[in-house]
Amino acid sequence: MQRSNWTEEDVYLIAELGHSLHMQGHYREAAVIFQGLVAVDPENRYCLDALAAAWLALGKPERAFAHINSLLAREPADLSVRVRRLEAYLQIGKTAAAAMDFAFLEHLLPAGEIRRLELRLEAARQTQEK
Amino acid sequence: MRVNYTLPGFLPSDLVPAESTRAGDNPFRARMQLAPAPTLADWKSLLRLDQPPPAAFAIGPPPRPPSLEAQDAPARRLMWRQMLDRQVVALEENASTGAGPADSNDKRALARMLTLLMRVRDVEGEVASRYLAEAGS
Repeated sequence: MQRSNWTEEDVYLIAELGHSLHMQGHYREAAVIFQGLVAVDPENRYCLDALAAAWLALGKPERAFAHINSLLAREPADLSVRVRRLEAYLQIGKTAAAAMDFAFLEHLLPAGEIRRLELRLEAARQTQEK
Repeated sequence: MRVNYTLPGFLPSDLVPAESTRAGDNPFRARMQLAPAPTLADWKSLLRLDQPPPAAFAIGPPPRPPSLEAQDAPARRLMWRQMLDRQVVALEENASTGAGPADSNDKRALARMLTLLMRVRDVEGEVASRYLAEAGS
């Protein structure tokens, strides 16, 4: 639920700037913006997902998990968020957990995307075995 | 009748002999700067699988609220500035009255965001005034 003095338009105008900064590679600034927006509107799906993406881009997957898991608790079939969680698991080396997300996604995503994730998973497994 | 098939000024005898293709001791290959072969450790680095792909942190644009009408750039900028002024005033009032987010982390996150937005607004203003000054001179 949004805080009283914030409207949907206010959140959108700021999120648009956050998106723009993220696209330009200013992930730290984008994270600051989306953290503020999540404080204002903790239920906002877009802001939670964008903040998780910014943490992943900054190489801080452990910070992304809280937002990813809260999104998946609400919408377990959200494929894009599940892909993000898989990537976060791979970043921290939890290949078994990543494999579980992969098993869920395997028959739901386009073949090219599945092949990419499969290769990522295989690479992570081989790295761990070494 | 005799037909002259040669073009004036382009007689075969005027042709400069072409440079010999056999350069002898200075072959073209010797002059080429060959790039060193990539030294990739394995197939994972070759396919860049050891790095997080851009898709891992790609995001789309935020969904536009239906209530927000399409506006031109100056109107949009004005709306953005008014919104920011309103929120900064609200934050200052909340700080004095103790209202606003109960969680201290949320308070801090909100204050940091508004500080960053004010900085963005100032930079935008500087860029716009410089542009106008350059356009006027």
